[in-house]
Amino acid sequence: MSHPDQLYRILEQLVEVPAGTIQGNETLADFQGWDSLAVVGFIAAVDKHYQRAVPVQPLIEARTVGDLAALLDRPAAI
Amino acid sequence: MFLSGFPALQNCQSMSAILSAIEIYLPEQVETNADLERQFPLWRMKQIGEKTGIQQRHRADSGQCASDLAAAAAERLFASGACRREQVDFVLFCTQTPDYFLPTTACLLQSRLQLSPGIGALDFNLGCSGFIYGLSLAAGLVHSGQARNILLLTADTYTKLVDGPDRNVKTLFGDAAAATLVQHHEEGTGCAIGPFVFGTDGSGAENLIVRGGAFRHPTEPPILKMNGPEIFQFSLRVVPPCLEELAQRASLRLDEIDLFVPHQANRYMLEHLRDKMEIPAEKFFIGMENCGNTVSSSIPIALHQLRQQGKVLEGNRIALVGFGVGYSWGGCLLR
Repeated sequence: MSHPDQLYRILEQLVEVPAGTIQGNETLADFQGWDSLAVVGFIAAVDKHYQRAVPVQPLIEARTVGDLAALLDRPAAI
Repeated sequence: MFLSGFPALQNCQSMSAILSAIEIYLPEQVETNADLERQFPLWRMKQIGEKTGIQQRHRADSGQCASDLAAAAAERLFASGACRREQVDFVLFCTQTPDYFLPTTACLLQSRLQLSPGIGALDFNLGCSGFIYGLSLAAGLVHSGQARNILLLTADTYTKLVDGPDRNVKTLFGDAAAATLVQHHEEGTGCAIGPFVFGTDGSGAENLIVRGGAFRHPTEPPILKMNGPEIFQFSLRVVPPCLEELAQRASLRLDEIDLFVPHQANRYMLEHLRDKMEIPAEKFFIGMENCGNTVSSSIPIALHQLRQQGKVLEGNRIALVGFGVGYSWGGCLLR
């Protein structure tokens, strides 16, 4: 699975939408399931699938799926 | 070479400390997830309950302080016959919600529990790592020959610090106390304590904090604030290496440890840590369903539950790990 596709599938599970829903240009606020539990779930999923730590403050401030994808391109926080 | 007038320790092995008994106390008032859903209809309590693993938490009432919970746990310890109150020669009390700024709550407990005046008593302020540090202090007192029967008390009333609608903390924390007896091995039977691993990183202080009510921000009310994602990330960063170092100090491989008893933060975090470390589920205790996150009492409550369930067997190697507010963390092996 390519890098963005894997991320989108992870996000779909976290915000509880059907597979294939997320294409990369969505706003996170449009997903009812994007809440503090999903944020923690995102940290866990990135740790599990990418073996890296997401910088937390930029994650909390992320507004779009693209913002989340960009976090994975940043240097690891730890 | 020994200083003149000070007897040399005959044999360090002869001064070993054991954990010999634990009793707990949970206040009567219970707040269930259904109660919270009625108060806050927008909270998705079913989903929150599934993620956190918490279905209810106990709350001290308005007149109950940490010392009241600790005294109740200690009375249960005495009633169990594990120790007579006149045997106790030191009281260690871990709390972040003391009755007063001063005097020391452990002094109040010495009087209330009718313990001898010829004993030591002190408070120490730690949260989720507090039980580990308490065991370390107690074991140190035994090893150095300063005390033989130490009453280690942990108690907090975090629910008094919770701002009503703050879902992050209100759904997680519960009030509780535990009384743990640490003895010189000649005084009783139990698990040997140690080795230990410690860790501290005060740069994370802002992520779990009560800013008001003390002297830095005296006009602000004492309200608990938690940055959940930061705490989660911190836990992923420190817990696995802490346990690996603990095993190394004990000359063990991780798979030679029979049971892991982590601070009972929340189920989602613990399951992720367990999977990350590839620890089998049956060796990794998760059990905060009926009491929530009880801070420094969570590990002794978990040990108490395990004992009641008959899951602690003689000769077991048990790894404890506490982590949280501070940041502070620590690990300890029982065997």
